[in-house]
Amino acid sequence: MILQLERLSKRFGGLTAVDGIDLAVAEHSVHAIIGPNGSGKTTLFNLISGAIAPTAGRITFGGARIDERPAHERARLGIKRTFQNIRLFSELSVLENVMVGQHPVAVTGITSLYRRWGAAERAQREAAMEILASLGLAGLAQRQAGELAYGEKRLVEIARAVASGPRLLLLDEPTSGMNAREAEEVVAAVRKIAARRMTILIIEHHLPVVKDLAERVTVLNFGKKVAEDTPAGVLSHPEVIEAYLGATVSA
Amino acid sequence: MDLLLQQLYNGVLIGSTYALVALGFTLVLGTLDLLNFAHGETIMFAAYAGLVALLGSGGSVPLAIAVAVATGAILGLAVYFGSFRFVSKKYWTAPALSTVGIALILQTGATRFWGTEQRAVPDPLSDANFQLGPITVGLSQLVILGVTVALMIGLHLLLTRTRLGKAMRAVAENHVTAALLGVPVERTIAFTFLISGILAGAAGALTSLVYHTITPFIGLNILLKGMTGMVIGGLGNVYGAMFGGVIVGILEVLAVGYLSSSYQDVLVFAALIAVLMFKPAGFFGIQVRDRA
Amino acid sequence: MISVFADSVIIGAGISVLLALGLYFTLATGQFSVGHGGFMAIGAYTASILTVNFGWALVPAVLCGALAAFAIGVLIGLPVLRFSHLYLAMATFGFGEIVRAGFSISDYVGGVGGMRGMLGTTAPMVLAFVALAIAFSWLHAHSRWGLACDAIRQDEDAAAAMGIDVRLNKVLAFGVGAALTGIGGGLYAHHFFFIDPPTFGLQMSVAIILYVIFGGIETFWGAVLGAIVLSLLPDLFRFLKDWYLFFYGLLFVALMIFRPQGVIDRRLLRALKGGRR
Repeated sequence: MILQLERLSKRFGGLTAVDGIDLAVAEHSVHAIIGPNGSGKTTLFNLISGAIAPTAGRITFGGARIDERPAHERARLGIKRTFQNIRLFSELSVLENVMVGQHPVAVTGITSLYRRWGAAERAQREAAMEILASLGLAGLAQRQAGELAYGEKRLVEIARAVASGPRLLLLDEPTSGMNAREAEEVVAAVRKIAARRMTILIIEHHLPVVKDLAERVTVLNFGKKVAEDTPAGVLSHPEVIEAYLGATVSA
Repeated sequence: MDLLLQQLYNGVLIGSTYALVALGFTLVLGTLDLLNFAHGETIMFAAYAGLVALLGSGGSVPLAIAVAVATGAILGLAVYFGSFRFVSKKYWTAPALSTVGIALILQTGATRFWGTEQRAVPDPLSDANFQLGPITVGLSQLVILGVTVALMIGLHLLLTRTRLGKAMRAVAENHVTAALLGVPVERTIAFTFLISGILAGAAGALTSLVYHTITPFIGLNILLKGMTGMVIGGLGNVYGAMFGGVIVGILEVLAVGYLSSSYQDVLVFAALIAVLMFKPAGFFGIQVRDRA
Repeated sequence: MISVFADSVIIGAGISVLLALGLYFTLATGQFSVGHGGFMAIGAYTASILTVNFGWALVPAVLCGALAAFAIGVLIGLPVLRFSHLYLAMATFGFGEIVRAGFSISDYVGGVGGMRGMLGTTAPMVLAFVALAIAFSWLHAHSRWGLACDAIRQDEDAAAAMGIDVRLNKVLAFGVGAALTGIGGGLYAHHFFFIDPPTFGLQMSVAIILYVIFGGIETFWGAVLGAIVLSLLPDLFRFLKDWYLFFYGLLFVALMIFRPQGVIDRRLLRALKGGRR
């Protein structure tokens, strides 16, 4: 289990967004988190990536406890993510966005001032271009990220996230707001990444995508885990149906 | 003890004028998240206008205040047009920087019109003094105190009892929601600048009467004191600004009385930084909103 | 040989460039400081104390001034890390004024009367500092360090999620920016022979801001251009001498209405260069 959450909780004032969640994600697997709006999915991601600190509980990654480490350290340990509302660096080019994504594995400190002419830096740039090429984005490399179409932006965000070869990739609703064609491209990209044996944790609303990609599905409702199984198993679970459709009407 | 009481009284007196400064400043900040760097110079310019009226009319304090208030109102609108209405909000620094420009314009204008020398502000009521227990109170001081209190009450009534006031509070809360609810946002913002200018004008007339002198360089100092008062009271909080302004006045007077006059600035600015560091929401303010 | 007047103009422009680059460096991480005059003062007074009171040579004294400014910059940068733009502006504003007020009450540096007797700047020396500063800025802009700063400016949380140590970079940006401005301050003191606290007050901070926002806030070349053009203006246009602040004010307002990003923006730069990083 590459990622383990133990009784993880997050309270915002009076609101409990995440309530005592236990979760174990197997390495190299694709694991989906689903649940109605407001069930705590994005908060869970924020806890794992380090954007916010837990109120209680532990997070273990690759055997080491990380819940007290800041976000940038977790990125260096191999956790990268995309955001629900696409947060690219819009004034930078597509290539530059991916290069920022390489930050955890590139030379970036004061010595980077003179490194740009070195062999290591050249190799890094080629690697960045390769990632773009593998997602069909090579032609966009010099375009300003803010000017891209929505679907392209999402793919760039994914490229940026995988650019450092992370061990765990968190994808927050990668197909949200997309039409069928764009969603297909994203799913294809995710499949390609999964084929490289990267562990993927994905929040998704589109259930067909979940059935397609995920090996295991965890269902959240009101911040609690209500079910965990294979996609087929979860989708026929009565509590899951109730969570999405409301209480069943008694005859 | 007597001395302390007198000091406290003086502090409250000066502080009440700083409260007006802080109020004008906080109105614009609360509604628009805009730091109006021209606020201090507006106060200075209005004070000079008031002085001209005072001298020209042979010592009519009401006229001086009226002229100062009118000048402040006009300048407030000028800031609205020059730093907000026509400035692109795409660069978040743009409106505030434009107010810096207006401040420069006002300051150089003032030095060109009225010279750089310090000028005396005559006090037409200075002969009337009386004792209130251990405290010596001047008639003109009472007038000043009266006017500031009246203005504060007026502002309170405006904000709570009038439609404009409700509109101002709605816009301060959330522009978009206010617009959706039918509040005329642009007009309300213009009025906010206008009222801020009125308060600035009054503050100008009253501070120059309290200090009995005026120079074109007081703007910055007053701005900082107003800012400190606002921060102490809590950003965007009108009643906090009143409280904070008075605190600043008391701090200043105590610094002059017990340390030395050269320390007064340092003490006040140190208070500003201290509050920003340790209690950024001020004493009455809401939690600081995080920038995305 | 270059005339004394031309020499003075070159030195003045060079010092302005250093001041502007110092502000730009801090601005590059999205931190808008309204009190850089304070760092200039620290650099100026430190260097002046060392040359006048201790007989140091100019260059080491200026570098020491830069070090002092760097230290104070880091000290200021740490607590203001989480401040929103509004609070940062107020805090740095207050900082600049505290420095000025602090030097005013210190008799060791002459208090309100100021310090005098500083000499020794030459055009080649100033130009050397400027060249180094520009080279440093260029390397920074084209390095991953600069890329990280840019990312922080645009979206701190996303930058952190990419592994960038936002805290370290922001504090460093304050320190380095303060150091560059401090070098400008040290040279300023020794070119103008005399300094007093009001020299470094809000007017100076505002002038430095104007250099940067006029020239262009999106690239360090903007700071260079703005500093050169605006510091030469009073010399080129004699009639502006008394009214130059008024003119600055109009410029501020006009800029913010018509071209808030300044003269040189990314698009212009790209057009001029045809490619990036």
